[in-house]
Amino acid sequence: MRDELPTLLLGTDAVVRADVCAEITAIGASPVVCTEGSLADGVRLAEETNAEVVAVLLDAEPGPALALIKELAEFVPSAHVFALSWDDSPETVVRAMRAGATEFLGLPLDATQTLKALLKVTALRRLAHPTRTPAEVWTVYAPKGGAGVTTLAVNLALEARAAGRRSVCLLDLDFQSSDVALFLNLNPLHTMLDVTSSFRRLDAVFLQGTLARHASGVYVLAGPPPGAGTISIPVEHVRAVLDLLRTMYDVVIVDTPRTLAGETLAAFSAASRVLLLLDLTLPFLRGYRRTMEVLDGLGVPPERVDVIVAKHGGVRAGGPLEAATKTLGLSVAHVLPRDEEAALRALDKGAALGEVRPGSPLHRAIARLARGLLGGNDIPEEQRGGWRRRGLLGGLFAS
Amino acid sequence: MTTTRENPSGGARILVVEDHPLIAELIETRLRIEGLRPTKALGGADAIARLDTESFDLVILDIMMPDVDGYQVLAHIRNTDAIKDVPVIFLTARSSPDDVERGLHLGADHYMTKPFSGADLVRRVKILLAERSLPAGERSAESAES
Repeated sequence: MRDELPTLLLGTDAVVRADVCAEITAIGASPVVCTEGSLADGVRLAEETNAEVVAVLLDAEPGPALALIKELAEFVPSAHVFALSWDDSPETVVRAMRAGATEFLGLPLDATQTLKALLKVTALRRLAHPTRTPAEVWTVYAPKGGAGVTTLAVNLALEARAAGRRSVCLLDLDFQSSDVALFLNLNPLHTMLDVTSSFRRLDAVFLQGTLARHASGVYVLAGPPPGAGTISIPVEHVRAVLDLLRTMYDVVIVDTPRTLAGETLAAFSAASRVLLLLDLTLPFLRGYRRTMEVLDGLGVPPERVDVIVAKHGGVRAGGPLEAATKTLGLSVAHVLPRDEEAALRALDKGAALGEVRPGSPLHRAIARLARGLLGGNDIPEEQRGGWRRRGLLGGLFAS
Repeated sequence: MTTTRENPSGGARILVVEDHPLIAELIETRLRIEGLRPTKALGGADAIARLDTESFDLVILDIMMPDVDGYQVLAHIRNTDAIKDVPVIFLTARSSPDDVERGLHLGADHYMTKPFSGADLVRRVKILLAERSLPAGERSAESAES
């Protein structure tokens, strides 16, 4: 997080601008980097300089300055807009605030009030980027459909909440199916679409207001509702949501689509652990290689990736686990047993596995996985991440 | 008429009536950063008890609460001489025109529908606090705002 506070001062009189700029720089507790410009160039300069504080000088005819404040509030909502004026009557203060100013400072500047205003900006910056330990972000992904990504993501969230007394948020990035809410029998009032449509207003208060609360205490940011039509949610919005959730919650679990689209890549990059689900059939194993290449390209180290074999066992199992691990050099961190009956029953009821089939092998395996991810000893260090290509069948993956 | 050399909203006591503890906490944090003095009430009954014993400059009021709802709290405020002029901002998930009209008719000064940003809420709080210094006829003719 940068130390300096980039500040832009806008006004009609160049001499006055220079004087006030110098005053603000002298008063500021953080190193204030103050540049100046005319009202006409205001919005452009604010965007170009990426100013955190934009101070607008109101003169005797405040109309143009107030109009600029309104534009800044609309087009540069991330900036804190200060209105500065020699006229500090209540009417002028109210006009400036109604236009969109976040602070009003009378001229000549009062050092204490100015310092307080600047300190608020740095305090808000710290709120958005706290120095406390960032949240765990567990991104659950499978290169093919049907592996049980949502089942795992949902039940991991519930188990993490139950096990660790931590605050947990579940983020549904599978915008085409948006199944997380269905799995939890939730009817969310808001979804990721609300975030996108009001992105300029996004902060922690806004985001918390969009989350649905499950009875377990897990919060959910649901995907767009069915029938929402073609969904286009910018990756920038997904990244912003992930960054914010990490400051708000202890554990963020992300349900991803099987496509390696922008939102999936954003979830990979943000992850403290990537939980890569596959079964031991050829399509999955091929997809696995591609996934590891993508993760490598994103700079996600192999030790951050946990390979989880899903739906293991039963007549429809793929190749034996031993063969995969020995022949392909697959390093499997965890195995989830096949238990479609339990998974379907849970889905049917919109309930946790732990509710419909407590103590079932699948429930126990997911609970164990959650405890391990929270810092237990269930996933030995040497079994984390990495795929080592070797052997005859390794030729399938020859580069 | 007072000037505003000092921060017009500095140190103002704000009652935050919101039964969702996380949202209440986030709002409280945001208001503290602004130099305001928020107090949380986690339900309508708690809010009324505080309003009867403590002094507040503005009330942020959720409508849907399980015990005593926001409409009842607002009615209490507007029917109690000592506090009838305290500005009130309604927060609600409801955005139907009937709910808006009901809240404003009961005397809310402003209406914000969830989800709302902390920045928008703070801005509205500051405007209402600054408007206290204006003659009644010059205060904003309020409308609901998402």
